[in-house]
Amino acid sequence: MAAHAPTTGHTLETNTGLDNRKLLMWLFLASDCLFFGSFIAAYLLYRDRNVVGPYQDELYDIPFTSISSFVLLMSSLTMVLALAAIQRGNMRAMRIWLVATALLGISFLAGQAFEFTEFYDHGLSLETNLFGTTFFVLTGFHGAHVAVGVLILLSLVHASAIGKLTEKDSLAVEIGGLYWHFVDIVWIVIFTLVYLIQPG
Amino acid sequence: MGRSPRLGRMAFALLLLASALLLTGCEALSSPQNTFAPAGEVAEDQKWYFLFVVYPAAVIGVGVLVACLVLPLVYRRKKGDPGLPKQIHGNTPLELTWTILPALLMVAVGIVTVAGIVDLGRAPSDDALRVNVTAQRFSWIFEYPNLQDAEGNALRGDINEMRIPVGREIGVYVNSIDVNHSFWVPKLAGKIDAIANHENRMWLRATEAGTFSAQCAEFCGLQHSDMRFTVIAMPEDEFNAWVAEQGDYTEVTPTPEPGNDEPVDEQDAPSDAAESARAQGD
Amino acid sequence: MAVTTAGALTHGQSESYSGLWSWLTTVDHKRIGIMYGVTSFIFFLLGGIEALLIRIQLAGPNQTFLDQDQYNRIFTMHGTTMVFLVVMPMSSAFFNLLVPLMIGARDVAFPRLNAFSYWVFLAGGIFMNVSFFTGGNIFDGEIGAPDGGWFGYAPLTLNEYSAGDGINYWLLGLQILGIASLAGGLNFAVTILNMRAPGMSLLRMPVFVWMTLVTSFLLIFAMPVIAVALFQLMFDRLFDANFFNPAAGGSPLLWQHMFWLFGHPEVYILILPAMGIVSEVLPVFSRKPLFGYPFVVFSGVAIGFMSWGVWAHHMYTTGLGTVANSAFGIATILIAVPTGVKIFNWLATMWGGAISLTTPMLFAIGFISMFTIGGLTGVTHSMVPSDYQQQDTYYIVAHFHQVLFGGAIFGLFAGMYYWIPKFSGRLLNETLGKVHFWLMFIGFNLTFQPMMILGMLGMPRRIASYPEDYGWDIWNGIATGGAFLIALGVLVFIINFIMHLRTGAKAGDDPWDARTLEWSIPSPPPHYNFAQVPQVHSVDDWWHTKYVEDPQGRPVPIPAGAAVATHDDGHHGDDEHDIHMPNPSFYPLLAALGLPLIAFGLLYSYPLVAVGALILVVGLYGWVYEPASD
Repeated sequence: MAAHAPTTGHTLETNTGLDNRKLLMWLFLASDCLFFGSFIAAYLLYRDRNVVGPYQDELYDIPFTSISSFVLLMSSLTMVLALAAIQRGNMRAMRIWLVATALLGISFLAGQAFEFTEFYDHGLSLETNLFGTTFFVLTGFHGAHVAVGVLILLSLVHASAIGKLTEKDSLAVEIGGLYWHFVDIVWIVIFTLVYLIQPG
Repeated sequence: MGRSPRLGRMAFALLLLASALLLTGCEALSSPQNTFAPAGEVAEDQKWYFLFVVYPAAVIGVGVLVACLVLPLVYRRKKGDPGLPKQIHGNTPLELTWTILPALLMVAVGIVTVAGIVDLGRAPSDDALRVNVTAQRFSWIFEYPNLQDAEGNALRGDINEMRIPVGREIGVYVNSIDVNHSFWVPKLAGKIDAIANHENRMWLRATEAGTFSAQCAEFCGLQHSDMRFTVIAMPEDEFNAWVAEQGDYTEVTPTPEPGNDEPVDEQDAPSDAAESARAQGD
Repeated sequence: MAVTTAGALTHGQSESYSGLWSWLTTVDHKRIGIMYGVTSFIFFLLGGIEALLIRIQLAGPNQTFLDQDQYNRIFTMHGTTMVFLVVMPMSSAFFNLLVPLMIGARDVAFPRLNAFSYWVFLAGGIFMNVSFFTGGNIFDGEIGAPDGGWFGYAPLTLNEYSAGDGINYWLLGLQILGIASLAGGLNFAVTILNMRAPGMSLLRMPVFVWMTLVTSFLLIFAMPVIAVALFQLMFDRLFDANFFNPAAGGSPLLWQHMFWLFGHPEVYILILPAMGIVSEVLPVFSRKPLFGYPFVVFSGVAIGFMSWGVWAHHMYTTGLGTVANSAFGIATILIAVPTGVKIFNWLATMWGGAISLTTPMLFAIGFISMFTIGGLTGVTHSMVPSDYQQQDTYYIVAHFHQVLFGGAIFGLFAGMYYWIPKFSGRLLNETLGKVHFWLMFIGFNLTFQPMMILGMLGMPRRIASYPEDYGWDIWNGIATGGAFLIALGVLVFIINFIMHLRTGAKAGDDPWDARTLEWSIPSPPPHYNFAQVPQVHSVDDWWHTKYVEDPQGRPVPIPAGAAVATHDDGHHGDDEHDIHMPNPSFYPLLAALGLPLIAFGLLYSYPLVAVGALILVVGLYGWVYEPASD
């Protein structure tokens, strides 16, 4: 039994067998579940309590949002492919798939931006009613998470391009992937509860 | 050890003395807001619910305090003592006992608690005299919807002054037009919060006539400490006389509120208003 | 031999240990712990002064020492300071100082994240207190501090009823502090789960480490909830959103639910570390193991889980309905059970022991007695019908001070007297320590027991003054007197602490003949903590390297030579190479600086937000790209 005490999160033996950084990301994501859960709860609580419009059924464009959701879903696929690439040592493929993931993420964000401006043009803002408040803040924070994710992805690409991220650093990509998939799963929950299940 | 029995007796004597002091002392202390000198049925019940828990709690509390005092003295490490007592790691049956017994005690407390919640939290009965209380920064407005004049206007009382007949059940319906406040007449009943968009109600009944001090009990801003009011409980005939002085008001049988016994926040959801507004094609 | 080995081991160290810059860039958990301790103690003095101002104002009826506006701001800051700037960070001081040592590790899992947590805490504390100066001329008594109470109920905290920046400072300050707390919770959870010395299974960890683990999980799950509530309030105040706007259909109750869903686990975050400390101190000064280690551990875990199911007991009078009140009432009643188990187990630890009434032991016993009273008053609150009278009165104020002061603060002082010698290398003066304890114990009881009576006599909370002839005068007067006794006790502690740094007796490695691993290394510990990573065989492993048990269960000292042989089981892996300790770094400090800038920017100038964000990002990138150690 090794007598090394892990000092700095290097790949030394840990009691759980999980790398410190991976465990950190899992715990952070657990924390983030409550973050999104609280905003979603507020949205659901207020869904039927608007005093004035505009209302969900007037504004939602489910086909459009379905497409941007699909785009985000596909980005999880490309993320998996990026991880597979670095795990088999193909750094170039990894960079391509990471860029693809980032591009899909940016497309999703563009879709969000379009949707927001459409709603705004139809009279929905933060101040208008409960729907405006809860919708924009919830999806806005999700979008911010996606944007941070895009930055992380592009940073991984940059690090690889300048030689700071090599084959043995697949953990970094895996952890980035965990974050990215989480953001995707949260969107699935939001899409279902916020868009698909509409006020009675 | 001759010390322990003597200490035990001393502790018991202290306990008796303390509870005697607690009961009589608290009643004797005159305060217009003394919850231990109730003048209303609800406050009286609440005092007894409190005592129901306080007695066993005090026994446990005194026991722990005595242990904290006695154990370090009895098991003091004396000079020259190498300090190598038996290294007891635990005693599972004992630990199970002091897990399960308190749990059973808590079940008893739980049953009584729920009974109290149901009893004190029930909706006011249909023949209660209704008072609509509106809390605002920093005063109280009282209206009596059962007491209407010929045009159907409800009697409105003086600001910060609520008048009720002794011995009759009162249905207090509390609203706020701004921030959270809390309606509290300590000698008559516990408090109920006044929250915008969320009407709360409770019943109370004065068992004595008198002028009872009352106060807002939810921090509401700058002049929170000044937001006091009084509740004047008068014998029935004097109350009727007061009503007559205010104008030609007669008591009207109240139409039962829709869903009077449902959770209160169902009653006031704005969605109904919103629905009808939308239906009218706004 | 130890000294030369240490010299050989540390020649590879790259962190210099002198000068201001070494403190600003430290990633050493022991230094970070000291910084947390000193900073939180200064905030304790600040919060204490706020308390004294309150008590002076309330010493008699109808006083005008503070006007209503000043009073509301002072009591808001007192509560906010004591919860977020004192008890939480002081507990962090202990996590930092002790957890790696107790589990046989060289540092926490993420040393730079650890430093970041401290600097963010400091930034948040300073940011929030800047608000005092934003109300006008503070020397004219114009204070800008927030005035919504530490609990900030909406809609009172909306712009309509709370104009000005006070509440903004409150909510932004708490957001900053929340980041520090979340980071700390994550760091310690990973550290404890992943970095225990070989042989230290979870059920061989010291109870203090267990309580830190439970607290860390509570932080991880509770901090996001308050963050959301604060964001919602921020959007309402800064961007005209409608989360709590009744006119738009918003519900004031949403704020309360969110706040207390965070708030109840929060109070267990406040008390569990102190309970952990008491669980360490009692056995050492009773010379017996903790009675029923598994029950104590599982009670702590149970409390952690159950704390999520009781939040609405802060809301019994808001009209949630019979079913809700009953459900939360029952859950609250039940949480008393694991709490009681701990008390009984602690008492049983003392039973049959050989007790030394040192200062840490006095504070630990003080904790048990005072916390029990507080807990029992909690049981009276859980008798819901009677809570309708108690809620929002001084009876509640008595309850939570009983558990947070008589409990948490007493426990933290027990920890200070017990562990300061380990880190300063010198013992505190016992006589002064006892004087401090008695002044504080008597003062505490004089201050808070009368408040139970005041509550029963119908005195509500959060009132700036009260009329005469309400029967409240005498009890308030006594309470004020008690408060000054407490202050005197604190003064004695400060004198003791300062004096001991120069004239305290040398502590040596193990002045208390204690049970856990931190006492197996020198005082103060070398920067790498353990020359050799310990191999752990049982709970209280250090004790078992000093003593074996005879057939009657009495400890028998092991002769010194043999002790070394048992402990040194031949693994010399680490003294053959240099011990790699993490490099110092200024990126955590830099990144932390970005946060208050963002907050000030939101209040005063949006470009400043961009500057703050940029600094944060630059700090993070520097952090990610610099090597953690050579």
